[in-house]
Amino acid sequence: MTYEEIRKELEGLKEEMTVMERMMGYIRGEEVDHIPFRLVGSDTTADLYGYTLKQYRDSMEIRFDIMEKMHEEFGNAAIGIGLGLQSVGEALGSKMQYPENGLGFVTEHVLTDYAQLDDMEVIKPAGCPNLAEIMDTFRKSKERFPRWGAGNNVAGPMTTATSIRRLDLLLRDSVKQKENLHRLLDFCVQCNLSWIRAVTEEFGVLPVNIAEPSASLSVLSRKQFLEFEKPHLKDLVEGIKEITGRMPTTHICGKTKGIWEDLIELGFTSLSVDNSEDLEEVKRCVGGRMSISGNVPPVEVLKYGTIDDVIASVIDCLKKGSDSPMGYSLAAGCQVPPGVPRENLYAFIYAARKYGRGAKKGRLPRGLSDVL
Amino acid sequence: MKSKEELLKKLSDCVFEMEDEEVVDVVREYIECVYDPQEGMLGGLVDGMKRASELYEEGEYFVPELIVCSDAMYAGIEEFQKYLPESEHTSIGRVAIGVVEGDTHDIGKNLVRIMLETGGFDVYDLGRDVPVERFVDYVRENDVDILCMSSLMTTTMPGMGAVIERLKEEGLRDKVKIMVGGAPVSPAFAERIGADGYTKSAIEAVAFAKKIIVAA
Repeated sequence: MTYEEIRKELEGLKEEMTVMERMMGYIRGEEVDHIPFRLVGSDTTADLYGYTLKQYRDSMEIRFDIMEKMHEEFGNAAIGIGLGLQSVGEALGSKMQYPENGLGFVTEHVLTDYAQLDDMEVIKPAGCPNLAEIMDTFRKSKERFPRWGAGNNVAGPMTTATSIRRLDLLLRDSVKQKENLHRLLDFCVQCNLSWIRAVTEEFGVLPVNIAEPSASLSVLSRKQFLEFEKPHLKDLVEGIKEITGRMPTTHICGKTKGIWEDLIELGFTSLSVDNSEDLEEVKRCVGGRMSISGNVPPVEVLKYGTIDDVIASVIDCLKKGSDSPMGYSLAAGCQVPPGVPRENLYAFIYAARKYGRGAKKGRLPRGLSDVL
Repeated sequence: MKSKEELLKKLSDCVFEMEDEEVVDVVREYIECVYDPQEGMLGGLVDGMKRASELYEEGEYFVPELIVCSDAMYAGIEEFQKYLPESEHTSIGRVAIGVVEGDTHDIGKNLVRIMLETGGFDVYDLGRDVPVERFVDYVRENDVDILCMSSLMTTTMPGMGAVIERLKEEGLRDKVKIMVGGAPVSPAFAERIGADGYTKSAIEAVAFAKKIIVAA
């Protein structure tokens, strides 16, 4: 299809529900206008509106402008207040670099010797400039968009640890300095809980997502996941439940099949999978016990694919995942890189509305079963 | 005095069992017995690394174990090199390797570097978060057979394609073979951006590099 054709078709595929109505109805087992889906965050689309990522980061007005434009154009209506993957490390003194048109990353990790850990104090968000700024941005976003949904984000224990100490050292520690690694991971959990406490005190209970790219089985073995990640992830989950009264969600990148059962055991009720896993298999293994979500390839399809690639990939995901017994939502398999073409975002929305039309938990959407 | 075989076995075990401190003492003991250093490296240290790789293939060892094994191997090689004349160094090919800009995950890259070095390649490490032009400049100014690039994040993968495009623009593409890798990379992606190959693991990378060197 061409971009013009997509735009024309979309005219006839209007939404009948708000994001919230759709999600709630779907969870209750009602038929909704189309399958719930999640597009991309506002940082991904800065360039669509003529801004660089640096401008997005540095200016609240620009950030609001992008959020507003995304709302008008794509219907996005969510504010995130979250710790980025490196925020805790940065708060503790790791040095960061923020490229003009790229995402930030750590250039110098603060923890080179475990003796330093004895003197490190659990972060207090109000006292750390970068964390206080995240809070402030959220506060102002709430004022500006009071009716939008909001969510809180933390990085998982292992990912937080990689913002404090270099990953290759952490992996060495998992063989040579097990006790110290456990101390560090526990410290990471305490820092994350301190953040969640501070946010909850000021803004009330928000849903929490745990981003944990570094606990992937592409990095750790299952044995190491069980030994190092699982006990600390459990502490984090328990702590979040205690503070907010709600179970958090999580996304772990890369290969995760070997730990799906562990995630269920920890109490997770939804699973968002990377495109390196097969949705059909996810549905078969855990679909009866968790809602699942995924997994259009972010780079190959969304960024570099054609409009037709995007449509084909959405159809493929719907075929494999959308009749999962505990429910399904359509999403990219992982973080979508900045610079995704506008046409592909429209193609994603078009395919989700057309083939995901008439969605109900546990069966294929009418839009799909009608054409199969 | 211990026999050579006994010490070779001990060197191999030190690497295999991740004894990165003890290995140095064993190397000294081996040298004191006036055995051949070259043989000590290949029949001892590299043999240990090979055994570790086998366990990796079987799923018994994982990335962290391989890193600590390679630490031990390097500690041993460094000690041996003190007793080796410079000229004994031979190489089967020259490789430049780096992680693309915006990405500081260099664990996979380090592993591939170590494996390639172990496999007899001369490897120049460009490091991590390497800007596109730095890759291009290096290829222009140096004699390189293979350029290896990696990325662990979906957000930085596109940088590998950008390097290949720039090499084409500069008329340098045919000068080198290009291998790409990293958790989110797939064979289809490698083909799309015009790389010569993709391998799933550091171990496969060595075999693949040897193959394309021979074919070239």
